[in-house]
Amino acid sequence: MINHSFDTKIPLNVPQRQNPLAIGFIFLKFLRKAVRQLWLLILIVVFNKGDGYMAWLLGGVIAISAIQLVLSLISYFKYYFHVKDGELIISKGVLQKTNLNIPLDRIQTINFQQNLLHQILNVVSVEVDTAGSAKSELTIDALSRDKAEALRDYILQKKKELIAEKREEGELDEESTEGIDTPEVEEFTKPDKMVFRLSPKDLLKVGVSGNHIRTFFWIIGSVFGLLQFIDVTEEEAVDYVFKGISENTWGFGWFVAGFGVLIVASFFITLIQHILRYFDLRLWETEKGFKLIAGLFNRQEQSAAHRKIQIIKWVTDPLKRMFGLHTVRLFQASSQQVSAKKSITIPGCYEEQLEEIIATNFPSELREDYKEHAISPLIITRHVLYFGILPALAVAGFKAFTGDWFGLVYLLWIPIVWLLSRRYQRYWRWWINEETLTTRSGIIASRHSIIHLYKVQAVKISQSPYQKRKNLASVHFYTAAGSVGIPYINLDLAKRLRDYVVYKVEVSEGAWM
Amino acid sequence: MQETLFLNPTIDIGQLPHAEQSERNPLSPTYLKIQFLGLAITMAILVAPGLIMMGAGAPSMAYYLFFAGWGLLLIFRLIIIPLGFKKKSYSIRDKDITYRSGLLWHSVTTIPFQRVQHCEVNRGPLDQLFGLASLKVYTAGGGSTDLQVPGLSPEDAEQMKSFILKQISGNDQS
Repeated sequence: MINHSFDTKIPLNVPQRQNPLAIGFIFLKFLRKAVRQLWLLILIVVFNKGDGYMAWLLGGVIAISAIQLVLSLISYFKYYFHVKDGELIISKGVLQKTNLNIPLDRIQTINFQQNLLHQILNVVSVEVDTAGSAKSELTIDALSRDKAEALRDYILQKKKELIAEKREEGELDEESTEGIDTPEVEEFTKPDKMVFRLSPKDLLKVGVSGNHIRTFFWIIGSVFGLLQFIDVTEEEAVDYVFKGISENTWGFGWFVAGFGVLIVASFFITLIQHILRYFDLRLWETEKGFKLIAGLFNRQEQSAAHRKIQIIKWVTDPLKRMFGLHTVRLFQASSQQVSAKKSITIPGCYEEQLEEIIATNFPSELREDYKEHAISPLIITRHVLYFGILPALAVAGFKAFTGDWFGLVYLLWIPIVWLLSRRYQRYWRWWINEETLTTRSGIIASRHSIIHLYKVQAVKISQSPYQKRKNLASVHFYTAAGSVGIPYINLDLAKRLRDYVVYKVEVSEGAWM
Repeated sequence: MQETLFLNPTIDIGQLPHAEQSERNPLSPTYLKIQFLGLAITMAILVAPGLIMMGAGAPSMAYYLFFAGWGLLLIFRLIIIPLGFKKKSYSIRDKDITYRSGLLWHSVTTIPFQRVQHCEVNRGPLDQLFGLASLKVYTAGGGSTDLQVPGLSPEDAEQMKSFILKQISGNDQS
């Protein structure tokens, strides 16, 4: 382990300010926030030019913003942090003084973030994540890299000592019953083995095989959203477009061209989004888990301890399959609601990389001797009824009722749903052995999830009236980072599955996080 | 034609204790009264818009429809509540707690004590009025897994809570 000198060079036990560069970052943060909150207002004012009332409103908002800006700039000078007596102490606040004392053993993770500016200035912003309390996160906007690393090492070191002390005094038992904040040391100080690196070529593949359909609808959504602010309703816009087509003032060609532009735009926006987010993505396997760094302008560093990983999911779709790529997600336990932040996404993994990543948490011997199970075909009947027959009958019936016999074409929806449901049921698989459960589902995409049985928190067996009649049930396994469910299996099998998993949890000695 | 769970099990799953074989404890009948009282309060609040419509001289068709809907909801709830009550039960075993509920959509949730974060005894205003309590068990699985057993006598609830807490610390020492 690298030995940082905590004492002379970088003293951490006296109250100190952040790096002066933080003022700049505070200002940028303020700007970003202001623009995000006020762009609508600015748009409205621009489009209602000359409206005195609006101008007053804008003036008022600008005045308030100016005060906020001054306050946030002063806040830099009022922000002190230091480490003392096993606590990270932050004092801050301009008008209202706040003192935050965070016991080091409550600190879950310390993440560094660097956007482009950070990189140029060689500073990092530090995020300290604690479990339990609502105010679980605190951010230090800018610290020099040395100091940030010293702080992290110091905290981890102190935390380790504290835990060792506690363990000796036998206080740990009481503590660990209290909750997730089990004081465990996490070290990400020694990035030793690079497991995965996204090459520019693969990054391009990831971008090309991204979810363009989502972007497509996102664009349409934003266009409609924007129209509202220039006083055009959706109907007017749609009317305008269709009138243009039907009266041939535009010509059908224009419509097709517009559609083409939308598709091309979706493609490039998706591509750019992926490149911004996953540029030069590197995944390291550290002593205790993973560390991931990625991003073009905003380089994000995320970490996950092996112990904390509850679910691993991997997804592929026809487009990605063409390139042989999978997207892997690692879901970590968190005391707060499971947020996207707590899951680590690794796009663009090839088969063998996928296997390597899964194997770090689920060694292949834990995935041997799998017994394969399917789900009941009766799920097709149900899906066809709920998603096919009922909606199609409602729409077609209504159309026929209003004399539009052409509406019967909606009945074609039923066989489509039947085909999709059949595919869904036929593709659904779950595999179990005495240690792990893997599920596979999907209609067009293919989604896998894997969990350790002993990491399950709760099991729920549920039955709809129909399932009750057919002696079927759905089972859900809840972990500290989301759930894995199996629909439509035999009730008796569901109960045995539940009994086994509960048994497995009850005899397990391993820490689930 | 029982489907086997595992490929080659080393332990006999048939021998595992069934989470449901243990005794099913019904909730206190007083809880049914609370549910009816709760219904009365909700329905009393819900009737207000109808009365206002009537008083404001809205077309009679409007409030007829409203009262018809209101009446149907009342009848539906009156039938559902007692039937649903029968479906609610809990079991406590040495190492886990199970709660069942739901008349049409039935669900059975089991939480091993090993995974309990903490548990608490709650007493709402109606509970206090009728001398009842509910036990809430929290896990790290998030809101959807927190298990709440309503309609317990306060003594039972406290006893269950201390039993669970004892089991948790017992597990830790081993």
